[in-house]
Amino acid sequence: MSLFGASTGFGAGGFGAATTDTHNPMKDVEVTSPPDDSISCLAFSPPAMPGNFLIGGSWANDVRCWEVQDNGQTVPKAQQMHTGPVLDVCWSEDGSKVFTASCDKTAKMWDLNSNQAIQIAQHDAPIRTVHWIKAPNYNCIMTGSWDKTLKFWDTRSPNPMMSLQLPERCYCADVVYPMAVVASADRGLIVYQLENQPSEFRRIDSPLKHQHRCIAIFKDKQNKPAGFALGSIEGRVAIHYINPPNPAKDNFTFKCHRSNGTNTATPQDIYAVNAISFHPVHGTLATVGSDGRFSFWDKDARTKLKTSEQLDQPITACSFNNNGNIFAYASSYDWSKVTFYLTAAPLGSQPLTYMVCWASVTEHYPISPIWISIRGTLNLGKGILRGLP
Amino acid sequence: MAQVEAERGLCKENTQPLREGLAVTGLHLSHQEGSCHAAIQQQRQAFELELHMYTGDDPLDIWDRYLKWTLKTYPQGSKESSLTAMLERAVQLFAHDKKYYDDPRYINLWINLAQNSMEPLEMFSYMQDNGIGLTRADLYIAWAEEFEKHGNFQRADAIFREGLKCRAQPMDKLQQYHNGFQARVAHQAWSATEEEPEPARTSMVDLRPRGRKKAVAPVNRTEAAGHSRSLNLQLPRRSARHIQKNPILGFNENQADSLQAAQLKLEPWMAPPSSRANENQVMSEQLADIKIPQKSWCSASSVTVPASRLNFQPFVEEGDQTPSVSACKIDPAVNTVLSDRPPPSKEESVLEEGGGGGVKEQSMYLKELLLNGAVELSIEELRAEHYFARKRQEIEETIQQQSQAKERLRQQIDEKQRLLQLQQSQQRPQLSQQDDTGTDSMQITECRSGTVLPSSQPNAMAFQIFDEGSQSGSAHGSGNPIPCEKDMCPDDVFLPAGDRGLCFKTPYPFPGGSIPLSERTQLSKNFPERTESLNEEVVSGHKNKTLCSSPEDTQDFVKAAKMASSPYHAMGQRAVSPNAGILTKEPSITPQLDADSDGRKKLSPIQEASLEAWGSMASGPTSASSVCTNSGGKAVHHLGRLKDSHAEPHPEAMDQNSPCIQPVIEDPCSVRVRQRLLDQVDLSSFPNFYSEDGPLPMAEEDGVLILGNDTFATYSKMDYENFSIYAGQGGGDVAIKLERTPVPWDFYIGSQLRERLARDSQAPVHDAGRCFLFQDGCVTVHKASQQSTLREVAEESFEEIVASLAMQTVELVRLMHSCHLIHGALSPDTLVMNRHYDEPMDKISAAVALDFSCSVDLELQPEVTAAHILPAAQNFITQDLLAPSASPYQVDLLGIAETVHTLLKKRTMRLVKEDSMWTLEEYQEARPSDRSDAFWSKFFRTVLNPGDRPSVSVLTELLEDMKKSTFACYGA
Repeated sequence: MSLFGASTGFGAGGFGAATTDTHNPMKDVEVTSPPDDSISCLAFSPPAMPGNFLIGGSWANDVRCWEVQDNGQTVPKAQQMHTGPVLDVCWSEDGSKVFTASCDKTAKMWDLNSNQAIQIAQHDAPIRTVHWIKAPNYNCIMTGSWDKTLKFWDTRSPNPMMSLQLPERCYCADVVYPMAVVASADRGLIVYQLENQPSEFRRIDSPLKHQHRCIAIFKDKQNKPAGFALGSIEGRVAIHYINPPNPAKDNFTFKCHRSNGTNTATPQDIYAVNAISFHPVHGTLATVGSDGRFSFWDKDARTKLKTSEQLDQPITACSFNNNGNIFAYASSYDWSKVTFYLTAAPLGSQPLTYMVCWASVTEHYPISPIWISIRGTLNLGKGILRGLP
Repeated sequence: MAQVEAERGLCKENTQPLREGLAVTGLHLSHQEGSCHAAIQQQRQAFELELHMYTGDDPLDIWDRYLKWTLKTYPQGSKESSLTAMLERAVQLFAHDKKYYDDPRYINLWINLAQNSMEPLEMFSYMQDNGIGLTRADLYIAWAEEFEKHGNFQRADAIFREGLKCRAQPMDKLQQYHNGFQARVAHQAWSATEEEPEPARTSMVDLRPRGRKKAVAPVNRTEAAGHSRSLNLQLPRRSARHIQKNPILGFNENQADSLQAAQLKLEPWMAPPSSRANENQVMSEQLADIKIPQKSWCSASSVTVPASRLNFQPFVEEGDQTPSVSACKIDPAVNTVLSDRPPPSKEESVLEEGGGGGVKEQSMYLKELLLNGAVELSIEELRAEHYFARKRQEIEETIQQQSQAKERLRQQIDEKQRLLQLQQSQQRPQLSQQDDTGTDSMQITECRSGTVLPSSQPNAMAFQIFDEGSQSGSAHGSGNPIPCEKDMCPDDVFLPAGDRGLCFKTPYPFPGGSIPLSERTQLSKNFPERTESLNEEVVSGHKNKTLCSSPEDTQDFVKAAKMASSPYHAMGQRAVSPNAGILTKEPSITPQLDADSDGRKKLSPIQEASLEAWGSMASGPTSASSVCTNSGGKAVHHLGRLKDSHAEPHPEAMDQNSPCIQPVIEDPCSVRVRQRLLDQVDLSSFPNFYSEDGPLPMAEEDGVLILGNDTFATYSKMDYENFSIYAGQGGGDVAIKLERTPVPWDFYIGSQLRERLARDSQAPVHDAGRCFLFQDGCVTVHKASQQSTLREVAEESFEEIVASLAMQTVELVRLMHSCHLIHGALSPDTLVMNRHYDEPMDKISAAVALDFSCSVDLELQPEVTAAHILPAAQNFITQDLLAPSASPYQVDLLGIAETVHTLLKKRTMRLVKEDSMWTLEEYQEARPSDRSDAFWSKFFRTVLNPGDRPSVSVLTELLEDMKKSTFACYGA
């Protein structure tokens, strides 16, 4: 199937260039019935659930649930709507519920058994992040918003259990009990401890020079949170330990999602790192960027394991499933190149969107790869006519 | 209020005076902290948004207003105003834009920044060194004032002189300030001889709002130093500049000898002096004035500039960490190593400091947009703002359309009322004569009311009241406030409808039949709801519809999801193919029925009329024409008057009237006429024409439509008045038009166009599409490579693209006219781009018309000799745009004008008559300054005033002209 594979550089996302094959150069499995607008977030079901379920939130205001079968095929299961774009999703520990955060300033709890969704949180501005916290003595939902607050919600009460002021708007966050970390505008970085009740643990000077964009906590050998990887808008990721034996040595940053790294003649194109995800078993990490590539990295060996082919659209979100044999990534227009759309294509027009679910895997991972494929097209948004390969 | 005053009294000593005075509102706002805090935040956010969303070419304007607003809103210069941060952002933003360097607004930003910084003098000399504002008097005035505040009169004077030497504008202002300054100095010198100089003068400096504890002593010392160097006006300039540049060059201390060179190639934004310096910087100035320049430079540089000051951003990343990176385990050349920041960190550090020599980098995201305001935004925030802006705009448009529709309805009601009153007073005898002729319920009502009418007083009142009722009813559909004392009163409303309806017809369930009295009551009670649905109809008719699926439309997902009502339902049955839900979707009956009834509900009055006519023609008794002749003479009489009044704004209503105005010639677009015409033509001999048995197949969005041997996938649907169009796929992208009347007129016109164009070998090939005729409807399949209507394209593009769309439209009409075809109803919603609009301008292809339902074939219908016969022309005739006897082709020219205007301005035309020439309100001036205005002005003048020339030549000329001027106007 490599007949179409290598034609890169053609009409990247251009108006009417819907039929290029660079949207899925690796012939990964494409998820059926993708949303009609950019995908903002992805989350796989937790280990407590049998099977793999994937949740994706989009700028078309919807949240969708697919079942990913063992052969890699996806079956759309259900969807819920917000009244604004959905920015983040997360699962409850037992997998019975999904929490969604939206630009409509609310977060919702979606009970998958009954397929009912109810509002559980309210902010004064769009909610950027939502996380489920399971502590021995409490369970709650943590929401971070552009209204500069971090709130903790018992899902049964309209009022937050606790509200913490942030120095700036929340841009990204991650939770691995007993640690939470929030990265904000103005390069703010705050670590919270969640034992007994959430409280600020430490403010950290940002290891990065540019706007924070995505963050993910990693664990140590004892399966306790040890630090975090922080991605910036300018192609760089920082690995930062909370209590390293040797801070100067252990913490580092590395470049990623840049073009022609070795060629010094032309300017290097730097792309935003859109999402980071840690492999649940190996502790390696995946980054996805606006350059349309994803890469796997080994932070301990400080090496790059693999980089994907370049897609014709930015990759906006990614997620590993609970045992780490499936890696899902979403490729969609991410607004990072606004000018292009301001000048050439209608602003806010239906961007080219589709989602690709790639059943992972490189030689570094124990499972052999499987691929599926269905896509959406420019104006029609629905991937109906193209069958499976 | 008293309390406010008191509060203000308490804090007004902190209020900074503004040169142009303070706005009282701003003061109030700023003093009522709690209550107005939100308002201020809102205003501030509005500014921020404006900055981030701005796409024009003079963003400085927003900054200028933002600054003025900030100064007025935060006269105390509170920390909250973040004035300094904002100014820093602003000056940085435009630092690369040399065109602003002499812009007074930009200079104003700089001066404000300087005055709010700790070291204004450094700022000023920095400005001078970078050539910012050298020609503006304001710079020199502010600069000299700063020196004067420090008591350094000599330098102040030197600054003034320099300004005068540079001929800074406005000269007289500078001169005036200089004179004032000299007078002050002279006065002080004089008083100094009288008594000891007081420190009062210098302590003025400390009235700054930031409350910094600036020691008075050093300032005095400075002054003393200045005095000690009396009469040495020339000397300090050079050295002072060196000194003040010191912090900027802080990093170059090991190359002190190359000072000059470094100064020249200074990266501008490596070095604007910090406005938030700490106490150390005062030190530098002290030293500067007292010690030898060279030495003080060294000491100053070592003290004053922390590395973090460089970009106004602390930089901690690399320097201290690089040595710590552990050794690479893999050959770095392979570029698989994470720590691609090599330990020597040579390239890296150069990069970070923005110096040349290393790899150049360019950010591939919209950095400028994200960083445009005083606060940074994330990509998501910016996108969300655009999303919200769009939403707001949509809501506003809907509201506007609704109010327009409401207004139109109100006018109609008024008009009907007026007509009715006239009728009552003049036509009473006729009406009463008429009463026994009709079986039509309308006529029954008519005659009934006619008989009641003599006691006109209560009836008039009833009308008045009903009018209100219908309006409020349309506002909140459920309540029905009709004061229905008798069944009679509400029935009166239908009277005009009975007169070949100005607006509201009886509902379709009773076509032509008489309505039982009880039902009639029911009907009239339902009337307000109908008004409302009409209202909606008008609104949704104007709404931007897409051939592509709307974001909310997630039908196929929902359907697929239906297979498992709850997500976990089908966990056991893994075997289900993911495609099964979509590809083998069987057309289910229920949604189709829904769609069907929807379709019915959305029919406009005209459509109802024509359907009715069609239906009744088949079944017999009361056909449209028979009704027409029935009341023929009288109707003509009434409506002739109506036409005179010119007050009927509703074209649809005119459509209905037209057959009555011209009772001799039937509406050339009526189904009946067409049916008869097509009977003369052997359609089955046409290629791509398929006659199918059976009813029209079910079509639904995201379904499959089987037509003959072809299978089409249908996606999104657009509903029009009497047909709907699906975007589909099947042998390429297609547009599928479904009509519920079995008259393949569209296909006929398309085929004629193709056939007649084919006579001329030069002409482009037109694709007539395929047509499937069913018993109760017909389906036309057009090839449509671009599945966006002109309106959709134009909504989201620039004028030049509209120009291209206009040319495509003109070309289409030109081709049609050259084939003796009239389109009749050009509309941006039924025209589709033929090809991508950024293909070269010199090869214009015609737009694709998806709808020929108002078209006329003049070869087949030679009786159409004047415009007034065409229903589409009535609206133009009432506006006086078109003479009733004009050539029917001119209807399309006006159609072009209307279409292009809608594309261009997104609203309806407002026309003005100027020296017997029609022109658009916005292009009234004879010689528009703007090139594109001139282009459009000419375009509309040509199309609106074709005169007696044949339309084909008008259009050909127009097209040639457009090609040329588009090129000149927008480039290729």
